[in-house]
Amino acid sequence: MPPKNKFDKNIFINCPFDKKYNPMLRAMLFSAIVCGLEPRLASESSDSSQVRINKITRLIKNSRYSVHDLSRMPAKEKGEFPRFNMPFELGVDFGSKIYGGRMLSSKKSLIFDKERFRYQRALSDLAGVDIKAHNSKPDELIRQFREWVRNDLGIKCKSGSQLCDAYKVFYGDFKQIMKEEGFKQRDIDNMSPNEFIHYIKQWMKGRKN
Amino acid sequence: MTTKISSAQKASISRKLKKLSAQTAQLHVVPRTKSGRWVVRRKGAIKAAGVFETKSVAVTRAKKMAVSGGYNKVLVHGKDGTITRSIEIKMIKSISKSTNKTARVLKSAAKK
Repeated sequence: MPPKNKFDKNIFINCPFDKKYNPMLRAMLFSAIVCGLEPRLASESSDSSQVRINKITRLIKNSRYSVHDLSRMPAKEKGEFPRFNMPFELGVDFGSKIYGGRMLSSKKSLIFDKERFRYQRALSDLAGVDIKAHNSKPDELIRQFREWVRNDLGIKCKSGSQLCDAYKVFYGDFKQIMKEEGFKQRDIDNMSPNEFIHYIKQWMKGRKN
Repeated sequence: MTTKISSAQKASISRKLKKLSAQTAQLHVVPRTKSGRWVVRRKGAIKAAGVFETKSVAVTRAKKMAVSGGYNKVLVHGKDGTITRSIEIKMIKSISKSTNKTARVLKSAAKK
């Protein structure tokens, strides 16, 4: 069944926004849009007057679905602090499902990590929760995301391989046009997720005609 | 630092992307006049996606490619270049039927 209203369409994406994670984030955004969902990210509004946590809680409240990626949780180097943002937002999302009333109790989440049982070393409270592993590969992430959308959300969508192929076609088209417009690879890599979402939607419009 | 794109550039990229996307959603089956073979090609692409001996094999392979590549249409051209048939790729059910047919046609072509 396709989503009916905005709350049913919105999917809150809780993931890192660093350069290394960019290919994964872009694959996730593409999959979500192709499956008829509306990605919502904390970076979508750059209004400095808003407190970040308020922005996040508002997004969580307005989204029926959420994806949390814990793969960048550990510290990269000795002496560096681990990143608590993703697990914290996952906790807020979990809490909203339990204490948020009738509407929010229907929320559904997907949790990703790099390896399947790695999270248990840091977040043992999540033991027993089904976590998907993407092995830091965009194709694997697309397939796992599609499985979740099809099986858990009941939304009809293309197969995992079809989604992977479509993403490659889109990215090829996107890169070609950006280069025609005089942008360099560095510019493409540094493009904001919201800009990228806009272009995915434009590409999808052409596809439907 | 995020890339800065002006609104005019944004509109231009969007327009081009939409146009290219509509084009790349189609696969074409076209004849090769010299060799008499049939080619499956994405619109605007220089390289062929596949070259086949007969038209029927090219069409069935194009359907299969359309399914796996997420294309909407397969346009079959005649020997004079005009489009003679337009095949819409829609439902997953019809896709599985067409892939079965593909397998049959490919098998019979291999026997020949």
